[in-house]
Amino acid sequence: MRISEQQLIQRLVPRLLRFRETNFYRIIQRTLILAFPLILIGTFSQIIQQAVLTKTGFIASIFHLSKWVPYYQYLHYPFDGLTSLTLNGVAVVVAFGAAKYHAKFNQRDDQLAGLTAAIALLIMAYQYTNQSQGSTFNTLLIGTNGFTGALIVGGMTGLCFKWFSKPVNGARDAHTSEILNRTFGSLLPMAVVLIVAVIISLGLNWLTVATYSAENLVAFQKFAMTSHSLWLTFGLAALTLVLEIFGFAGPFQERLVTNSTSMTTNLNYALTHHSAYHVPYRYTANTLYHAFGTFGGTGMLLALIIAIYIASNNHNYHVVARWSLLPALFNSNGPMMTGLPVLYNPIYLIPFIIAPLVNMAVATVAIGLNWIPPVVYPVPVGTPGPLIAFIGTNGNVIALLIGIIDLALSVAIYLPFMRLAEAILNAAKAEAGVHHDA
Amino acid sequence: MMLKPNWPRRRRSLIVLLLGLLFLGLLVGPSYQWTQSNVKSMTGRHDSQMSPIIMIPGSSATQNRFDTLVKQLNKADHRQHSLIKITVGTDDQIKITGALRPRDNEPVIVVGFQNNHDGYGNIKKQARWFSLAFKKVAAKYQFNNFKAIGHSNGGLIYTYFFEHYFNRDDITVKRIMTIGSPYNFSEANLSHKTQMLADFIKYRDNLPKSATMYSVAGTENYDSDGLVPARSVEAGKYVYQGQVKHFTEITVTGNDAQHSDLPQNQQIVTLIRTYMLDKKPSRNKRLVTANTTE
Repeated sequence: MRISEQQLIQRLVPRLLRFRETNFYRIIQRTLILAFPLILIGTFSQIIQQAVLTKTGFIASIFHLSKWVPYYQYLHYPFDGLTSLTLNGVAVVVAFGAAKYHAKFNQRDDQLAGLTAAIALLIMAYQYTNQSQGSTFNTLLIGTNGFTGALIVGGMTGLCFKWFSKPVNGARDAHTSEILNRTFGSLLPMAVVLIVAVIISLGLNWLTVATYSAENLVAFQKFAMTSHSLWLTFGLAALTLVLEIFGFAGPFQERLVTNSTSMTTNLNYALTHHSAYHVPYRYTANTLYHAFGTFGGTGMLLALIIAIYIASNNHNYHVVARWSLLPALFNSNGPMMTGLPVLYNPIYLIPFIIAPLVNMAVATVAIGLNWIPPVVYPVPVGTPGPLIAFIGTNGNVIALLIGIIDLALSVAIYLPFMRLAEAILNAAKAEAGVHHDA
Repeated sequence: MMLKPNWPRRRRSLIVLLLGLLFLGLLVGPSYQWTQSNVKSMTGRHDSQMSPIIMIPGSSATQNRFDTLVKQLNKADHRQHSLIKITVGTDDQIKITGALRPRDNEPVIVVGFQNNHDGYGNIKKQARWFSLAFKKVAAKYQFNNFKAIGHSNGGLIYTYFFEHYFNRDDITVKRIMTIGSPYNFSEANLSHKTQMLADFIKYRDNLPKSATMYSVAGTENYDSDGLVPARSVEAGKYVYQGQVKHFTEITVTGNDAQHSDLPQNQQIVTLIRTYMLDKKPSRNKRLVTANTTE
């Protein structure tokens, strides 16, 4: 088994290494690393805001913080600002980074390219209103769900700079006149990008007005959260996972839909019958996916963190994983997604999808055999993954055990892929001839 | 070409992992206690038979405004509804007088305000004060449904409350009755919408979908109860109709149809008894239905 795994790794490494060395992947990776510190700070701010300083948050609930902490109701304001300007605006940085690195690879003016891409993205996310006061940006486009769009915007901007401006020499201490020269040389691509951005922006606004696409997304998520057929639940979970690793919002993304009719029906049934077994909707997004498939955020990334702790030899992996543990305990996967990165990483595509589905399958069997009741009771925001099922079943110990088993299973699923990723890193290092370990 | 494990590095990570697991382990106990008490209180509320009638008086009236009405109700249906009075001060202080009688599941709770002045700005403030009082009684009496009655501006306060403050999914409002509530203030012409009416219409999506709503108007002549134009009461349909489950408009005329007399009006007392109060407990009902063909 171990030998065949080794052989497989040996065979896969050269191919994936070639992919790693394309400009395309390099730009994506550098951009993600640029966004990583912002994501990390934003995530810490967000978990404090949601789990500690929101009355219904996990830490706030179990320690009754709102009852005894002075000025509790005002404490969340600074974190609101920090979260919304880091996490909910991070795609702007991504657009900047993608354009900057793209321009740099082609010896164009990278600063102007980056700034142009950032502004172009903001223009596209700008929401036109009839009222003169206050304008808003579409958070779907500039928040963490806008990663892919931002990368495309940045890439396109870099391409425009490649086409419409001349190469510049990368001399640091250029003369003022040279800088001016370079700036005027970049005017054409800047104008092209911004005009295209305005046109797309108008188109998007028209599309939103004409088709209610934002409401459609919410309606689709509502439908997804309400669905209770076993196959539909698994199918939509898989769809969510695929979309999320490519940086989009999937149908089971939690934040947008809080309450669904199937949850309410289940809860009422359980309260009426004083038991959560035999509720009408046993296999829903809530009872399976959110309760057993999201430890450490989408994709069970808590398992990957543990896998790194016990088996990785890569210094960077360990550092990222250590910083990501606390957010992951409160189900935020942002730091792992961008720091490792898991996002757009073909190696982790398989465990990212398989691990949650396997966990859901284990839970389905356990619920089907009546070992545990389905999760029907309210679970506070930011509850650590392994405790969700425990709390949601009113403290069922077997549910806690299944949570732990699920976590162990997921670690086992992630381990070989983590080794493959590490082998590629080592091969890349060997190829570059640098034995640098800091 | 596996490298040899770097043990010091791994040891540091494993310590972090152990700390993380310890952290999780320590949270198991508090989590268990929280969910047990949460489910217990939810069950308590879910099983609760309590269904109060919560009344809000109009402007310039106090928490004593409905004393006569409650007396008339008690006399008419031979049930002693407890009368609990609440006053919310301008400093958010809540004062409760009166007590719940044993085995009374349908108390009348009247919420008055220290600042009981007229005007949209005051109505907004009063709605917030009401939300504080509501939170307090909801915690104290553990009901899962209630009936809402608002006289005059009380109906407007309720409307503002439902649109901006009431978002509990463990408590439903079964029935709402507003009596002589001027949804368009003193403006009789509906093409002149006041700011308040415009706001009410703007946020009407937030109104409780499962409630049954009665808007009662009094008229002394063909178009006013002496203070509030009938058209202003009628404007309530632009807010409630199509949003709540049923919307019914009732116009009362005759004796005591003047605006301030409405809460004592015999007709309205009967309407409240018929439409707002719960039917008598089933053990009596069986005896009654055995002899009637209702």
